[in-house]
Amino acid sequence: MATTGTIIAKNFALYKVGTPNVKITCQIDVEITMETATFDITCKDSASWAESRNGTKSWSATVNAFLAHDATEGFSEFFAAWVADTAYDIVVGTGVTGDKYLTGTTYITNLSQNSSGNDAGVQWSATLKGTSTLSEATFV
Amino acid sequence: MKIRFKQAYGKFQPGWVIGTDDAGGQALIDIGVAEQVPEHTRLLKYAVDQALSFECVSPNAKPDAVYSKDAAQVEPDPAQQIPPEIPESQNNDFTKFKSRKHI
Repeated sequence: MATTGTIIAKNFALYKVGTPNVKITCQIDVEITMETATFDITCKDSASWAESRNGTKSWSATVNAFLAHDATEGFSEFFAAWVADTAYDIVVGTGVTGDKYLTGTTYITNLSQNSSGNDAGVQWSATLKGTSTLSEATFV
Repeated sequence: MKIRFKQAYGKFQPGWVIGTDDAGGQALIDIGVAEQVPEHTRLLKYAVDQALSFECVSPNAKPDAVYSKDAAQVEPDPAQQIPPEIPESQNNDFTKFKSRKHI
């Protein structure tokens, strides 16, 4: 049953596309950003107002999670994809039937591990640079 | 939805737990490959007979307690043990005696 009202953050996660889709283990934060580059078309006839037109669209996602070597989908899987330059197709959403999600193909362009201080869980993070289209669809 | 594999399926081994979308999980349950597990189950590569974990490691977990447990399971190496101190009255180390005399 589709979620109504505001989506709660804990239910909104990043999945690797597959059969089945697989949620990244122990995620802490997920973000997906979309932007459009613009190019300037201001000329001497622009009456002192800058003018621009939209250009290339791009998107990327970031995830950070607690590090577990026995994660079913975690740092090791990301590391392997990063080393091999393997495409990593993602879904961002709730996984609930009837809810919308964003999906597309990415390549991992940044990967890090962070052990901060003493009494804390070790975290890892990744940046996934989208390539080609980002689509919205509905979990069925 | 979170599911635990009852049999090997692709790269997934029996005992492993994954989070997936409702439809994908239900499809695997319907064909008998997996079973649904509680939503607070950790997504890990469990062994078939391994109990599921239901809690995230707290940033405030007590590493000292874990260390003590591990330390208790390690037999001390006799070669690494520090010998007991010998009372000065029984110390026959002549070199040490001479050294003191020169001081």
